[in-house]
Amino acid sequence: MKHILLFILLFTASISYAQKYTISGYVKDASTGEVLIGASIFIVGTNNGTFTNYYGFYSISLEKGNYQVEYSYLGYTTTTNFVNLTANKTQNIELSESVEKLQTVVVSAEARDKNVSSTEMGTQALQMAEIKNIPVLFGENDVLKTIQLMPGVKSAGEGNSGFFVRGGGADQNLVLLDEAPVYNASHMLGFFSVFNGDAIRDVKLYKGNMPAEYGGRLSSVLDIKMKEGNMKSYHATGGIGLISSRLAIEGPIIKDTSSFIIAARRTYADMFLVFAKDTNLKKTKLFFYDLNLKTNYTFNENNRLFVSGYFGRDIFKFQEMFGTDWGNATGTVRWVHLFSPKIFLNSTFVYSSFDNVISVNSGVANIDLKMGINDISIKEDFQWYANTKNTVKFGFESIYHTFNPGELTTDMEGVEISIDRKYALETGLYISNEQSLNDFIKLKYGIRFSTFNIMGPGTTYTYNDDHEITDSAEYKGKTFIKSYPALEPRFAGTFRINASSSIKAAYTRNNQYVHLIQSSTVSLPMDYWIPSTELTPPQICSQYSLGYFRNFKENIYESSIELYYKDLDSQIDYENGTNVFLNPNVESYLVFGEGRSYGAEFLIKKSAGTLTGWIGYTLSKTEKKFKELNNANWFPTRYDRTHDVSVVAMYDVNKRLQISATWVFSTGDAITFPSGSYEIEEFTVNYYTERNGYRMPNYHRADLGVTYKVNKSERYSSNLNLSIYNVYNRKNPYMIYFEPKDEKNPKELQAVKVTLFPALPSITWNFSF
Amino acid sequence: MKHSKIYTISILILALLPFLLTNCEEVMKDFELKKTQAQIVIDAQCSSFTNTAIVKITKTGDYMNPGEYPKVSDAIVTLSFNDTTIVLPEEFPGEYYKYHNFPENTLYTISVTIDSKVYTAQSFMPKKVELTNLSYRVSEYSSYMQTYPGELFYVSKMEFLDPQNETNYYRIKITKNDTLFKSANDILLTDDIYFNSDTIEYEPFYFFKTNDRVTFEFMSIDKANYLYYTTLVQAMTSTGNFSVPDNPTSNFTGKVLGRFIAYSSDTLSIRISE
Repeated sequence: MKHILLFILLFTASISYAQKYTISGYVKDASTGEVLIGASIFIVGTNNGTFTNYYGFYSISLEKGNYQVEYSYLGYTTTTNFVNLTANKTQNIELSESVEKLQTVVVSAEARDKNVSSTEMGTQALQMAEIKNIPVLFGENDVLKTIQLMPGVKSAGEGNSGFFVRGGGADQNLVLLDEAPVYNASHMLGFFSVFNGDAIRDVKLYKGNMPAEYGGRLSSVLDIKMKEGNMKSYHATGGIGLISSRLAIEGPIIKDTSSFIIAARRTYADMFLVFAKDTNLKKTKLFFYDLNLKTNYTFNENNRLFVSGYFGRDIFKFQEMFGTDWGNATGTVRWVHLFSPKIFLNSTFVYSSFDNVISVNSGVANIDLKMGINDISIKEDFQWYANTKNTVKFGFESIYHTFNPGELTTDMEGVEISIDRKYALETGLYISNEQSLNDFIKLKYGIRFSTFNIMGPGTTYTYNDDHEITDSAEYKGKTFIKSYPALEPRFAGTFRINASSSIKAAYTRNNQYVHLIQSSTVSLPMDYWIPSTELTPPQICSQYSLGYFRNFKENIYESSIELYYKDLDSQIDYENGTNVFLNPNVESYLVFGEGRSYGAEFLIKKSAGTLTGWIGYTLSKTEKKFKELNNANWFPTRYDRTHDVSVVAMYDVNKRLQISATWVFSTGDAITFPSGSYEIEEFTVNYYTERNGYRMPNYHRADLGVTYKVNKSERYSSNLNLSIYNVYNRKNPYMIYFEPKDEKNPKELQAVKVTLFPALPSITWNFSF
Repeated sequence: MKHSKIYTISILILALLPFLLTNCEEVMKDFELKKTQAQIVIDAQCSSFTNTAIVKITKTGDYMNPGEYPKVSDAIVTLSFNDTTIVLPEEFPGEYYKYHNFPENTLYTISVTIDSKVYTAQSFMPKKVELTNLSYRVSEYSSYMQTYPGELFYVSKMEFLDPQNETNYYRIKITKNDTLFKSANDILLTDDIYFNSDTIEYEPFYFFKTNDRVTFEFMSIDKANYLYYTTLVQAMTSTGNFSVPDNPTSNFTGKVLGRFIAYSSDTLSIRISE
């Protein structure tokens, strides 16, 4: 209750009623007509300024008078307008890309200090242009792999697109594609992410200090926005690589009013299998494809409609024996409406589904196991530019989840197993205000009221310690079985020391109501989601963070130090020996414990000039404790990597040639190895003493990329990209196993490491016209 | 499924990187595991099929040098059921035996005293479930046909009637020509949550040739031992790389490894002819 009171006090104190007028509008890219997110609007000679929101909209209120308004965006030429403000004014601005990329330095000093001035911390924003320059495995640009190079973000393993934020689990990241949640963001064992670089425009990662409009996951929000499609002319971009090709087409449907983009991608690694000697491999199928679609229509200045969708599948088939087929589908319909220059409304309808089918032919029967989740949701987000000092956001979100924890069908008569589907309604109601108290202090405070309701039809069970059902209750459809309401306060504050440095602090509390049940850490699609129920409480996280931000040399260099501490509750694990598949009583095997994660993140970034890039370093620790596991002692999580370094550099040699390089280093994963062995019956059994008590060897690797622009004309450009993964051929172990030193003498073992990728070159030809 | 998983992963990786089929393996010379204090291991069994109780007591050994496990002598081992208590004498160092007519459908309690520390465990010996049939047929499994063209491979099928109104736990042991299949993946386990009270046919993925003598031993075990074997398989097959392994869940009280099992079983044998 204290939080609410404080909130209301702050909020009411902040609204003032001076006679003011508003300048508002959209900032767009002059060549494509697409909106620019986070473009800076600055009133020269004052301390007033703002940024375009997620939809490219800005609004700023000023007293009557003459103003010089400066619009800027990284990589674009800054535009200055003179405004005589005597009434509310709409000013849509189009910015052009800087002709000479080498001179992108020409960006107004005041406007580029967002890093220091905003209340955001623990946040990383990336533009696709930046991501495309970073060398990666197989030459496939990848949003998720670039995110992993940021401090506080860790990769799930060699070549893997899975990521972990500040010690959080893989299922604690909310990944949004055009506001639709993506439940499994990886293709092909995690070597690729589901995000096709040609269809993506902007990426923003919140490492825990998520604003009140986001909720439902403990550890991060990765907000990915698809391109809208060129409003001016038709274009195609694409690439042909060693194991995949892609093509995107975009253009206006009605010039400056409506546009579309279609992007498709397909891998063909399995085509090489035809050359394999082994007949079993010959018949193996392994590929994925995905498709992004988006279209929009501008009715008038005040109304825009967007429709977008994603569809992707992974197919794997090993002979006639085993196969999997999994994928995501998302759809978003969004209506952006301006009530007035000061009130902005975004209404969204979202559909998202993830399902996977595992097929096994046992020789006797064909067995299909299907698991999945799907969501239908509506969302209303208001943004009210109350005055120059206050920007208020409020709205609600309501998601109807359907969980399918497992359905087994066979072609044998009468053999069918299905675990009851579960249904839930998740809602969030939020309000927040970003307030400039004075020239030094800026605050952002808000609260989210979330509820999770498990709904009928369904049966609930009570279990004894032996996992036997002792009682059950039947619920009809549309009834509420169990509700979890929670208040989630969010707070962030910035104290500006001077023009180039600030101190920030933040507190965030989050609840998570959906949980991933995993067989292992490999991204095999054998994972499924379950809701919080009477037996499974929501996961809870409180995060405290403190940071020092400092820019140098007119904001060309950004630097920051952030400290965080996370307190986690109701973390989920399983009892030893739990079978998670098709187990109707899986909930009775779950164990709940606590977690703690803390660390320091250092970042220096240079974002302009011929040499750009960043150096990130994270020092951190993540531990968990369960009554039932590891003798109730704290143990490190697998991805508790004490030291984590990433260096990213991109250098423009000349107009045609660009070189980029990355280097990563991290402490080895925590892992459980045996500390002895013994005999039971005729078996030799491993003896384990400590959970995650060992460490894999330290991991380090350098990648190199060279991009050569073959030609560039008005209409047509192409480039060749050569990238080398693991340049100095470091043999990082992917796994370690033990085997007899000598076949004849099984009494002496040795450790053997398996490495996945040696120095691995790849070449991709990219084009656009 | 468990067995096929690691296999599947490696196949996936292979399939993904056909041009890199030589994914590299290298011996880690300076790799060392932690030295820990040896722990007592009690392997206690009592069977109505063999009418024997066998208890082997050893200690854990160095992981890198398997096969050398110190025997623990001078333990006092007693077995009680209904109103009877019998003492198991040490017949060989660390091995305690007793022949006795052990009744089924009975709860057994074992007590082991080592250096004045007492370890106890209970196990319920279920009533025997009989095998009703054992048969074989030529396998159509394509992979084998391709690898060994012209040769015939057989699979064998057992049948049993699962008793009504009770939860049963089973382990199946398969022997070919007097050799027991005894890797971790040969610990075949099932409960009956999906097929309670029905005639069940089971045709495991074991291939036999003409003139092979095939024996199925069908063990009825209790729930604690079902859990023990499930976790035993995990402890034996997990490399730690993709999951977090743990010690098998013992039914002994006190800090000790191993378990006590009381089981009944039925066997059927068949010789494969063309």
